[in-house]
Amino acid sequence: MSNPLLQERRRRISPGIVVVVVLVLAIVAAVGVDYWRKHSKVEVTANGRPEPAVITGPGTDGKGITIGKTGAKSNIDLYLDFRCPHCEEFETATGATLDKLVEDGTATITYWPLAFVSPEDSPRLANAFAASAANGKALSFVDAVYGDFSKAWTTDQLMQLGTQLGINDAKYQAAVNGNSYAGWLDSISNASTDRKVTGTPTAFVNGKQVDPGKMTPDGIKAAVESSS
Amino acid sequence: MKVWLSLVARLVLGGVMVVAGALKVPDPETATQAVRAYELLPASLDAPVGLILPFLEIAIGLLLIVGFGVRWAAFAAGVFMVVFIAAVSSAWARGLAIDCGCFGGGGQVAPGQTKYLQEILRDVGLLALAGWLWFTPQSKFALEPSTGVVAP
Repeated sequence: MSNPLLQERRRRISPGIVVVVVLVLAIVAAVGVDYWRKHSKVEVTANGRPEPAVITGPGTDGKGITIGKTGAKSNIDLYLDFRCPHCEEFETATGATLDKLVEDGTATITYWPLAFVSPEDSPRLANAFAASAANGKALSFVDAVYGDFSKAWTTDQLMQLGTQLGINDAKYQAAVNGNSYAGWLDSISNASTDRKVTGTPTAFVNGKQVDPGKMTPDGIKAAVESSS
Repeated sequence: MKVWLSLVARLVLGGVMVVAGALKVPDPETATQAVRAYELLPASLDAPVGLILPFLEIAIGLLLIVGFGVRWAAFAAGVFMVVFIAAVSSAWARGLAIDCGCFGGGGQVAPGQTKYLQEILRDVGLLALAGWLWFTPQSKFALEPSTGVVAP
């Protein structure tokens, strides 16, 4: 007990210090995570599936981006937002089913990229999606962005993605940096409003809306089967 | 007896906080959208709150579990619960249809699928635990420097 060092160590730690330390640690951790999601490397793992052809590219006012094989009996309209968590869940659960329907020529998909979830990031990603689709890579872009949803997808990371998809040419860079498709995206947004699409993900199969409770692999398959 | 009740309160409240935070940490984007869905904060604050809130939950939860600064950790947890209850009630009152995003997820849901009452009742229960710990911070198996008492 006579050791002064021991006494020193037994001093009470005031709650104020604990609070400050906890706050600082939380902020440091949060800043770290933020840095990581803005700077982590983009890694596209080739899933081996062929890239479907882009039938209708971006740029036609009020028309979405259509991919697949011409002559397919069914068309699936997909209203998505690249920063919408429910869209990510939908893509994760149903993406493979959609890919298969496109690959075997059963259905084409028309993407309607919307931008209302995140005022800053949704329009940026929708624009990059259009730039990617203009270079023939619509599906790969969708796969990559939803496949790593927690990534911030900064403009730098979008450029890396472009490189990995083999489309990072001057045209892609100019479109991503210059937000070239903003006007077209407005027309997509207006077309969606006209169709009374109020949330994402929303799907229509041959013009008929898929019940929100049936936005599952089986639900989509059933809707496609009954439409053809 | 009270020291055992406080131990249970610490573990339940702390456990819920840690789990709730840990489920959100890997997905800051979803946490941000969950905050945004309440339509309460200016857009520029959604991301910082979505980013830091999970870490604060984990930190407070860990303090409660190990029993360090229980009184103040319980106070902080209580403040969180009051804020959550107010936010969920306000979403309910404004007729929004959202998931509270308490354990990850969040954002818009179909109008018939809201669970506001359950969410509020759960938070009220947790708030009661926080209140108990504020008044009765001494407990079994705690590293409790702030009260200067280590339960035997």
